[in-house]
Amino acid sequence: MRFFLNRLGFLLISIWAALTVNFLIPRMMPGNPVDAILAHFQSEGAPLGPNALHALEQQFGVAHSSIWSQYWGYLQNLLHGQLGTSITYYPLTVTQVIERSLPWTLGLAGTATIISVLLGTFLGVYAAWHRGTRIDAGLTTVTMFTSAIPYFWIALILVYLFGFELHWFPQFHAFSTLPPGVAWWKFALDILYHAVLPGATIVISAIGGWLVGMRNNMIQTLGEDYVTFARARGVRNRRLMIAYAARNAILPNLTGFAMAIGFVVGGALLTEIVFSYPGIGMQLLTAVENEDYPLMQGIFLIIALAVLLANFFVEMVYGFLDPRARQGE
Amino acid sequence: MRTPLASSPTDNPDGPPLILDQVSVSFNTSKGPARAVNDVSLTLAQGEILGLVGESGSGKSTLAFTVMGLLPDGARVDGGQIRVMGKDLYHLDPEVLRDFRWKGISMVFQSAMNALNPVLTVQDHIFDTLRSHDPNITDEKARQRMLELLDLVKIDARRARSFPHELSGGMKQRVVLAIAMVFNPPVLLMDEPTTALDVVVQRSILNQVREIQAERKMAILFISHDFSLVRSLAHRVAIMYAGRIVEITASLGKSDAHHPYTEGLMRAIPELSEDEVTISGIPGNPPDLLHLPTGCPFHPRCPVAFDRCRTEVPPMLQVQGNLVACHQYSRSGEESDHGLE
Repeated sequence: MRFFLNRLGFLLISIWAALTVNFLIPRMMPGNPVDAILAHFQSEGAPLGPNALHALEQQFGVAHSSIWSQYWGYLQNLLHGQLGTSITYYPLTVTQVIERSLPWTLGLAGTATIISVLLGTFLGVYAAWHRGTRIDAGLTTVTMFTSAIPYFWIALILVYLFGFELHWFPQFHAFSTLPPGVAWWKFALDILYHAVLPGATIVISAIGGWLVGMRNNMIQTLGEDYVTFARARGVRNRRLMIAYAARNAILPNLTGFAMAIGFVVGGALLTEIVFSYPGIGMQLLTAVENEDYPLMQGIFLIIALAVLLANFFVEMVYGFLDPRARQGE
Repeated sequence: MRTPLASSPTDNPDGPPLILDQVSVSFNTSKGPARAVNDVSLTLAQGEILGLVGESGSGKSTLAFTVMGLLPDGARVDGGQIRVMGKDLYHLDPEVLRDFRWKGISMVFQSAMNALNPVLTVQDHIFDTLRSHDPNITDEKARQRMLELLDLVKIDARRARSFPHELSGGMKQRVVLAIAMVFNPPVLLMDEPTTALDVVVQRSILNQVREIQAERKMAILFISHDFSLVRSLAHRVAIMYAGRIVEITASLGKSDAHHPYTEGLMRAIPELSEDEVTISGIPGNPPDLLHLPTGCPFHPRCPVAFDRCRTEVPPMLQVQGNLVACHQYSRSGEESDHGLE
């Protein structure tokens, strides 16, 4: 319990720090969204009057008040879930844009990351247990190869081969336009069908790291005295493999899990671009292209929160798996 | 010297609990095979504590792991026979061996610090051991046995729920000892059980071992590099050098006839009762296991070596009731000469 409260406190402080940095960075950059829109209209030959300017300033929260009152207002807005208005998707708010794209990213990259972590860890345990055999050599070599390939390149190859040439899977988008009133399961299948190639891209590029990491940790724990001692005591292979070797081998990997889960939100950028997938990564690209500062800020905030929450979650799991962590501090 | 029992083909459960007959073990290294255990014959009698002494790399631990059938990858038994309670371990079905280990013979590991799984409690370790051999044991019975064991090694029953990192080094070693005693095995191997502990804890653990041994009457092979410690604990002491047993002796008095290596070891221990303490080591270094000297492995460092030592491996000789593998006792054919030297 003390461990939990301790970690929770740390999480809250980190979130506060992330929010503050997120508040400061745009204010340290030159220009503001209103200037950007102003410039946009001026270049089109339709300059805006002072009333319109004031209205825009109100809308985008460009304040002439002190930095402290701005900061206070920013925190209050955040508590109400208000992240400002998007320039690209005007008049949608940033919250609305993120609400629309986050589920796609979580569904695609989240599922793919969990699959590659689980599959990679499982195969790593298997390879380590059969170390030195052909299965081990084969698994290790193949995954070393796949993880060395840049993943946008895997994405391009998959699109070309299975989308463009063979037409087995769609090349773009998260779903196709179906006639209205279609059964929900048909829509779900359509989404799955569209997710296969981008999902495979993430799994293929990520699985090797998990496999090799787990295999190497596992080979190390298999050489530990407590494994030999357990074998001497007659502990059966299955229990030896799971409770003695894998249970200890997985601990150093947990930090990696936390990072991976955290990066699910922002890390699928290239996959989403190649497949025109309407997730957070695509929105971030759009925001950068259009100098959509409120949207960028909102997305950065979501990514930071995701990393922090994932770390918190994994630390809880760590405390559960490793009694030494529970007691620490 | 051959042990007659070991060469008899029939299992004899009433014979000595542990018999090693001409056992050799080598490791595959990148530079070729290294003989870690060379032609070792030993017999452990019922209720006996046999000390096995040797310096690092002399093959003591390898011998223990060979007896347990737990040699690491790359090591193999080149020859000889090992019988525990009359059973030839190297010709048992793997499942039978898995069950026989710990019931017939158990072992206390050198590094108690690392012998316990950091994510399991003391209770988990004992329950795991019990369940591995008796999957249907009830929680009640397992608990009962665990409490007996903790009582045996004088650990508070509340410690059952502790994780290894919550225990002191001495407590960990006691827990390992308790785990080794789960099935009251007739043979117990102890591989440097107190090496990592301070002297006070070391002594309390050794006293515990003595007590348990006096009560349970199991045979113990006690491995150590600490000559004086073994001398105070064991009934007989076997001295190992470069993979060979060079002497098995019941008496380590200075006037007895010994192997020159044993004499060197004895000279290296200061006598606290003497006014003038003189310690002398053994000149030279232990041999490279990849390039063992011909003849007696000790001859390059031996103060009394002569021609024959360089060419011929000395056999075990009966010298004043001890077994010594040294040519100097067969030179004149009169063994008794030496003791007067």
